[in-house]
Amino acid sequence: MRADRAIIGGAALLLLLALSPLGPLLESRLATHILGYYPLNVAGGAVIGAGLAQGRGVPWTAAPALLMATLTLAFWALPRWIDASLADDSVHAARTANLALLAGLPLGWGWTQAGPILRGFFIANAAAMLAVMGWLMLAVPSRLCNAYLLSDQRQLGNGFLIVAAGLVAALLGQALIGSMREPGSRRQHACHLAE
Amino acid sequence: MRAALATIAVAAIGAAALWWGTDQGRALTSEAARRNDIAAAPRLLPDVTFHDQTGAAFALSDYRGAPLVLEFVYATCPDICITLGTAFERLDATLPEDARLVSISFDPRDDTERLGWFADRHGAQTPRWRVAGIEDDADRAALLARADVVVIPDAMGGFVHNAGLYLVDPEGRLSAIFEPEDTEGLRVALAGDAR
Repeated sequence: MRADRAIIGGAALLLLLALSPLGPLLESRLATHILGYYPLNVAGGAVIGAGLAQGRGVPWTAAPALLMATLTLAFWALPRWIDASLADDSVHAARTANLALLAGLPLGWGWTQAGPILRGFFIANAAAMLAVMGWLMLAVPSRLCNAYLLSDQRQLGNGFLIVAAGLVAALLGQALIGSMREPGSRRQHACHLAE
Repeated sequence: MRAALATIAVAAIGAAALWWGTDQGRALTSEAARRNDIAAAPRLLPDVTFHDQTGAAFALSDYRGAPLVLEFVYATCPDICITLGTAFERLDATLPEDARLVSISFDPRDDTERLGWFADRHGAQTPRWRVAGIEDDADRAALLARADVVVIPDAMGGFVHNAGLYLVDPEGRLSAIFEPEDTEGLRVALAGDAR
């Protein structure tokens, strides 16, 4: 039942983003495009992925699923494809589908299947990549996207650094306070299924 | 084992997608992509009609048979267009006699008088160097689209645009784009073409 609700909720979020003025509004600035539109699009797919993963314990799929999400995001974070998605409707549609199905869905699925070590590795890796991209956005003297101003690029750079810092803080919090209950409860769940 | 194999497979597919999506690692930005693309496959530009700083009308096709260099500017541009104008001053002084220069304004507000401001500032003299506006909105949009020139408004009533020096071959095809500072590269390429 909860899985059904997750799938419906995720699909509703994706529809809202695709059909309402929210999408174009977020895309009008680079920072809200990458730190608003992308995460919402991915979240729609992730909620569905997590819903599908409920009650299905397939731990070996966790690493490839999380890697698939990472590589999909890396592709669509290329300035070339950010520009192309704004200039070409078919690229935009392909990206929307990619972010939901090849980034969000495997992220939600993989995260649910992953144990604490893989989760920690994933977050640490994401934080490192975001920090490098943030530094790049602040250091590069020219515009990387033809569709956005240099000031937008700087704003995104700062945004990346803030998100990276947030992820590191969350990871530290988990490590120091030690709340790793969620993966444990999933294990138990999987064991019940196996019985 | 399954996890490792699946992860390697995902990594391989992702790497292939990134390789393809960056033109074999040569284009992270749309600016680099368009330069690669144009160098590999020169593009015939639409034959639009211009008016120059003296009020005279002319067409791109008038230039067939001789090398032509274009740049895209606007008359009240405070920064990059000054660099572009200075680059054209250098080209004016160094290119062979039959070569022609056209600074094309993409600002619809640039009438003959305003085109004259730009011409006077850089010493542009017809027929060697025309500063030109495009009357027809659709023509202007078509030319910009064909050359992949992206113009976005800045926050101060001006524009931001991807800048370059555009080499048009004697057949009227856009065949190469150079950095605004790279007048020497353009001169050498033009000498190579003529040989």
